[in-house]
Amino acid sequence: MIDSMAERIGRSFSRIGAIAGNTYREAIRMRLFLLLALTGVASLAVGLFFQEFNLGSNELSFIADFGFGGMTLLGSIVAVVVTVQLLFGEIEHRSIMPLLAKPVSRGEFVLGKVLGAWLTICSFIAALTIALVTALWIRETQILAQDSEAFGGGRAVSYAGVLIFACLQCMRLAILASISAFFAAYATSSIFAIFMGFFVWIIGQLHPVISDQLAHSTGSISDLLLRLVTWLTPDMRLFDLGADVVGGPGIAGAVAAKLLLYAALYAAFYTALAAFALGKREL
Amino acid sequence: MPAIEISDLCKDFPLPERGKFVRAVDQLSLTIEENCIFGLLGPNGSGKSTTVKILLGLSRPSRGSCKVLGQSPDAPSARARIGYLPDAPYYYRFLSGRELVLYYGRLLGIEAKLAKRRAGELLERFGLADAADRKLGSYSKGMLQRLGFAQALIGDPEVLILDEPTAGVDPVGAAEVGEFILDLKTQGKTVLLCSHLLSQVESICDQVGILNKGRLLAEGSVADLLSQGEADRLSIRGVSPTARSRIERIAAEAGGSVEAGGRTLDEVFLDLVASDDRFDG
Repeated sequence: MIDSMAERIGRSFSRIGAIAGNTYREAIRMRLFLLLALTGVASLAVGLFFQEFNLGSNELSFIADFGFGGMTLLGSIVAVVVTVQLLFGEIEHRSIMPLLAKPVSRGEFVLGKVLGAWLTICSFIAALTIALVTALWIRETQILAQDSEAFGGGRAVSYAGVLIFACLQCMRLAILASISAFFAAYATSSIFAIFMGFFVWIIGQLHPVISDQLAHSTGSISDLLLRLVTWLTPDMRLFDLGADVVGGPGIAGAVAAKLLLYAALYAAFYTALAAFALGKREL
Repeated sequence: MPAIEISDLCKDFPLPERGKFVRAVDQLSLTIEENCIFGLLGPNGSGKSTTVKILLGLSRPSRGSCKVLGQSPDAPSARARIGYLPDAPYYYRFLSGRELVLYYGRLLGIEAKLAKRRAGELLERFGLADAADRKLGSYSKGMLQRLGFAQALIGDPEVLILDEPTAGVDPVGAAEVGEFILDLKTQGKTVLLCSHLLSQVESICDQVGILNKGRLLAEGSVADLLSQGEADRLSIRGVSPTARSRIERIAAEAGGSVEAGGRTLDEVFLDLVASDDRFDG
């Protein structure tokens, strides 16, 4: 019985893996990846362009902020658009029909699509991270060559911190991808799903403002609704730890672990909602 | 055990107006025995595709039930025993023919080595060996249809559901499809064939069901259906041209007529659908 259960779980993982792999392959072959790579290279070029300016010790922070901003903004756009395109496209082009006629559950399908989209997003973040680390390292080395005491005898950039930041962005974008998947599974047009994905992203960015409003709560219905919104939408600002990486204290392991758990819970919740919405949908 | 058992199946789709719905399948009951080629006929909107979707677990019935090989199609183990050829090539244009068949093989949990061997054999059998590594975007409609057969057969299913396998295919391709289907029967498989190509259905199907507006108008063997309403018809063979002209004269004097050939499935189908439409007003 245990074996049979283990076998069933194994087969389920195999199907999810196959769907995720095929989704990633689609992203690569449909030129989405080319777009991502070009964005990464452009970002590197812009970072290196700042060599021409003498911005002093703030220069590395500027480049880092520029790179982190690119990851956050472009990453969010990519997460919403790519996830909707890859999931809704399958429903729209009806390639979902022969797929679900195989022994694949709708939950496995959604999970495979979200994982495939997330792999694509992570590849994008990896390209931007490589570009950013390269730009930071080149400029830091040049500054140190001119003045070895420029950063008090050490290095200014925590490269491990940059990598942790990139990983946290991947987790943050996993939430956004799963939210977009939910709307793609429910919506009848991709524009609606993309719009709603961005809408939730904006709400997530506005969490501190909403929390301020709730601090002066009078218990009215609008306040209760606002509180419900804050529970249902993730606080995306929690992941904005870029300032801690360059010239800051770095990102503590406990903070990173908490954020990983936070992202995993929200991503799981919205992926389950997406599977539920697709389960109720007439194909 | 029947391969497919449909009992009192109804499917309603809600309309935008509150409380209103349209009935796509209306109290459909059907039994398809194993190793039978069953032709499901009907005009557009008659409920064929909805029935197929329910049989594949892609849609849930509003009422009634259906079983494939004794199991509900919601069960993954039941769907693993069904091969499905969709009515249009809903495949991934970025994949090659071989990649597509292997992808579906992986979804069916077939071991990689076996899937590779089967994919090669199926692509060869359906004349796609030379194009196996080309992207599907470059395939013709006929090639996609043959690839559809290959993907449907990768899991060596016991039941095949073929939804309009000849749609958009030229007469040569349609004849090939007919041969493929007959070949499936010799392998012991059960085939549910939805088609508009009535002459082909007449020539290859053991049993036929005619649907209109979600209702089953007639069901039975092709021979039985063709003989229905034939009481006032006579089939005369082997007469000389002189005898034939005498027979024609006699028939004309009696207010009847003599026509070449017997009743075709086309005629049966059109008569049934037309009288059903007249009945509905």
